[in-house]
Amino acid sequence: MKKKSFGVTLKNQWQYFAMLLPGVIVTFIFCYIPLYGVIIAFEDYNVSMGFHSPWVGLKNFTYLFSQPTFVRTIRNTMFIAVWKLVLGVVVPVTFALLLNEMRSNKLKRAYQTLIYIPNFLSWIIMAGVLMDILDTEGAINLILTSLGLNAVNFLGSASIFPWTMIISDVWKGFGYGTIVYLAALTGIDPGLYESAYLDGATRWQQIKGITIPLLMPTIVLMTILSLGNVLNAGFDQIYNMYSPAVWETGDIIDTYVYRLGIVQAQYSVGAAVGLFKSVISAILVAVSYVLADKVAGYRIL
Amino acid sequence: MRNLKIAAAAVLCVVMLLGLVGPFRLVKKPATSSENFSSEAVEPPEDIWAPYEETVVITTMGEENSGTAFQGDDDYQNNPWYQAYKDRFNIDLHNKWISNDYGTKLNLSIADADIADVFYVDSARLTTLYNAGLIMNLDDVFDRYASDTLKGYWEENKDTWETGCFDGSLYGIPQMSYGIIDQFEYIWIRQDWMQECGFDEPETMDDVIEIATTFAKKYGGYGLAEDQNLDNFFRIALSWGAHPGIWLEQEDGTLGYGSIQPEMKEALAQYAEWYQEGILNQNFTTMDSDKMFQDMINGKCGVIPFAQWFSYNPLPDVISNQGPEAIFYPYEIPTQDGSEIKGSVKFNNGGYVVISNNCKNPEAAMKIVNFFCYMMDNAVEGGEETEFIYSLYDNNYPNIVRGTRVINPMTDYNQYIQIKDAVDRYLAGEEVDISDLGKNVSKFNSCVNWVENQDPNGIGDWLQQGNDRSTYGIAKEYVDNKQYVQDAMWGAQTPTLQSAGSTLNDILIEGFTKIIIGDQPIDYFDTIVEQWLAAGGEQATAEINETYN
Amino acid sequence: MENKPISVFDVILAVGLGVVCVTCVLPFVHLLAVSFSSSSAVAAGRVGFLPVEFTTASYEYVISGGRFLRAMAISLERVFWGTLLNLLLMILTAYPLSKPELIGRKFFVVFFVITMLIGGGMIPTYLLVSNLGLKDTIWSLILPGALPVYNMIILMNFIRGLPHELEEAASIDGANAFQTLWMIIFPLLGPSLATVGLFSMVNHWNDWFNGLIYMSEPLNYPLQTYLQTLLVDFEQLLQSGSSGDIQAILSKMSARTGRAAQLFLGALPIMMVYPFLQKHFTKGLTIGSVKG
Repeated sequence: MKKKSFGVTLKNQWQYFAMLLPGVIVTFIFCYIPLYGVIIAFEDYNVSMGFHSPWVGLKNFTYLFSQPTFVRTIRNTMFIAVWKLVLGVVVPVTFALLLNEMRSNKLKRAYQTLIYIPNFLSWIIMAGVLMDILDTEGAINLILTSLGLNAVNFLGSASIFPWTMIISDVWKGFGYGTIVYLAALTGIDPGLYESAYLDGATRWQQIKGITIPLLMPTIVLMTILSLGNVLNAGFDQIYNMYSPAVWETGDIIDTYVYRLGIVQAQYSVGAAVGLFKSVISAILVAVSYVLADKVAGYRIL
Repeated sequence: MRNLKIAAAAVLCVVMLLGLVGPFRLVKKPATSSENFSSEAVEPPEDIWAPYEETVVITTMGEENSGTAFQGDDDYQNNPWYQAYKDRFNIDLHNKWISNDYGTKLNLSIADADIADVFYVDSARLTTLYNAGLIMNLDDVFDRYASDTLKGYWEENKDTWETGCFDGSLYGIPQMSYGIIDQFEYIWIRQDWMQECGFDEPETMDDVIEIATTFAKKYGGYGLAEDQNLDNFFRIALSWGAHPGIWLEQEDGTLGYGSIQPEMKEALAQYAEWYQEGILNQNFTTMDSDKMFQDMINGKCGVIPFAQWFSYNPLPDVISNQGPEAIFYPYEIPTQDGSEIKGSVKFNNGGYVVISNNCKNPEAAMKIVNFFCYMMDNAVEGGEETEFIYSLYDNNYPNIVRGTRVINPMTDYNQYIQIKDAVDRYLAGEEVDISDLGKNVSKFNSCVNWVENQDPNGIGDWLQQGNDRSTYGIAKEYVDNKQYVQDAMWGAQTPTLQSAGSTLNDILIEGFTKIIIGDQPIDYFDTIVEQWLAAGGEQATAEINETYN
Repeated sequence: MENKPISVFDVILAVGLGVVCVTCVLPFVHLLAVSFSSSSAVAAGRVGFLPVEFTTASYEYVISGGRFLRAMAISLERVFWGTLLNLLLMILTAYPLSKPELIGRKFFVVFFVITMLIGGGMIPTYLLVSNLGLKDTIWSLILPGALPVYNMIILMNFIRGLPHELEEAASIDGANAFQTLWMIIFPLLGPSLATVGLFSMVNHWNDWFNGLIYMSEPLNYPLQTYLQTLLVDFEQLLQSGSSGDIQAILSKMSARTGRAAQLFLGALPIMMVYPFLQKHFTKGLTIGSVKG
């Protein structure tokens, strides 16, 4: 970080603070003041007593972890979430690179619009459609059997179900990531490619030598930001598609806690789960930030 | 640059548009939402049916239900019910809020210490409000102002009334339900197939299975329908004398959970065998009820254990797709030893009407409740005009007063007797005066509509009440002969059950599924029971025995 | 570059990506068909990509009663003011945070990022909004999320990627920070504002829960809240076996057709905005970190 050589120094500071002021005030009021609510994770919360409900310490946490089926939901959540995260970067980047290679600008734009469409469908709706398609007698299995392959029980087999969730989620969401990466790609100076082309570089060499390195900062930023969300492995999706036969591998923290009855206003256990997830994601974000900064030299914040 | 200009122009247009509508003026604060709106105490008239001399304003909080088909300018604040309160009693009932997510909004209002004069709560919140001292002891106001009809409900249902009391004093008036007659289970069998194959009413479970397998052989598909929640298994388990889902007395006199009794193991062993033999749908584990119904609708299955509302959903769709002769009829579930079947009856109470401690005119709330009971039970004798009765009952208008009503638990029972009688007279060619039927006239009309026009929309009411073989016809016998086991947990869930949500039952469903599909042997049942006990079932059993035994 | 001949690779690419795109569109087409089909055909699973037993009953049900248009107007109002406020606060916050020389920069960044990771929950937020007197006003839908931190960080990274020369020149000419932001930075932000603006709009448009808890009067619900309430009740309605006029509607529609119709009516406006904003995406936007 080199100091700017000419006058942009302390004189601008008060103006910067003035700009920050509205954002800081709004954030303080609406995000920091309500934080006192976190204490209900340590209380036996009762709406009529409010935040002075009886203090129970870590009881809500020990209660959760003593439930026989809670621990497996953490394992399931991590498995599903990590794969969603990895493929959620790889697929959009690949797709953006491929789109970028396309000649026809019209087609490129049309494709870009089409792949964003699933983002407009909520999981409740999409789940209904996928349940039909992925059924043992659904469209995909009809295709598989007509090709002479065995039918796959996408939704009813405990070993396959998590992958069904991962892949369908990546498919549904990749249009969003593609927009961001494609935007970054179009920002790359075309002159770089032209000179590489003149030097005789193949398409693949151009991608490896120019595109990927220039895309890397965006990838790192998007990945670290999505780490904050990693323990939300997709409640809406899984809740609408799972069944008791696949709870073994498909039950995640949020679906479990939902069945535990958070709907019936068990705010304390809900807050305990929330706090648990916050702490884990905070650690993940902090570690990945430091790694990106110290090891790879990317400063995103 | 050009694009920026276009964008700026677009923004300007929208701003002007909003300027016409008035920015920030679309959302209007309701008058009752902020300040304290209710009247000060007003001297009530001597006669409980007489109007106040000066207008009394009380507030309520309501649940939105889009089943309510508002006519004209009606809404939750201006409608025939609220108008009747004004006309008959000079009471202005004002909605503090109406919400689609009543429970959440109510919790927020309690947290905000901002509750209405009269509203309804579930049993958990009743306890919360009582402990917090926010609701009124209703002993005196009930004694003085409740109508004879309402007091009659109390006389008839003292065990239910108990659940609204603390230390012997009434704090929440139970809203009850349309009756236990709607709680029984049946085996539904497709009639055209049954006749073609020449089957009679099944006497034993073996008969049922024979019918099911014959159907599957002859018409394709499979025998017996199930979905991923195992609901139909829990229904058919009654055949073995099991009562899953309710708490009942065991041989040693203590209370135990029906789903973990030895009878369940027997039922489960047989059910798993049926699955292995291909009688059940092989992919039931991924089917929700809609998908399961789809197979009835497409003629892939002709036998299903199900509740009375099968005739409302999916039967109309079955008939639209397969024709009116594809009607399903309800049959009694046969028992293993040939004895009489015993149904399970759960505590079913719509909630509790409570009155805030700050309410200045609690008797006004009582009058509103009285009026509902009167219109429900005595409107025809009371000489109310048919038009007026319809205006309150049609279009699902009783939903408007969800928070201030108490239902006679014999409603459906009495309705069945009345409708069955009217339908029989109609079929015999007699004249039926529909004004005698009061609010039940639409049920009668849809039965007639089925008989005359085979209208699929009439099939629900026809098989519930009008037909000789109807669900309520069968259930009436059960009710009259007390042919059922009543849930020992007659009232609120105990703390462990509340905090466990559905996870305790989920252990059972997950385990039973594994046994049925053959992932685990039948003896795994004992392991499941152990897991269930360890996860809180043992504690729940102790609590139940302490509270209800 | 433009003159290179079209190779086999190009064709395979176009077709291959085209297939993926088609899979993205098919569910949508299917749902459109469902929304125009009779409930009995849908319940039987007979609807593919064309309506079966064509009916507009589901749409009539959703739109009937006049509340639909009112809810739509409230949603538009909310999206407009909400997005405007989001953009304003994001720009004002992102710009100073993009300056390495800002005193206490690290503190401010952490201050904002923490709010992405932890929240106080529904009840304290509700009590706050209620005590501020915002309940039953459109402010209750706009103010609590006035600064979307995630998008602000994307914007901040974009500003950091802008060339410094112009700013330096402005500074030499004696412009202060506000003038620089307004005259130099703001005009360069077009594409990135389109991106974060779209995300903001979609968020405001799709949010239904805040409308549900902050509005006392169903008449004040924004569109998605209103549509949500239609469907929740709809399922109760189906199970209760109700009477009267509703049965006429019920005979032609079901939760599934109703939901599909809801989806289109709810998503259509936002989908129409999307192509307009998309033009800006392709103009180039670099976000990411500063290397080094």
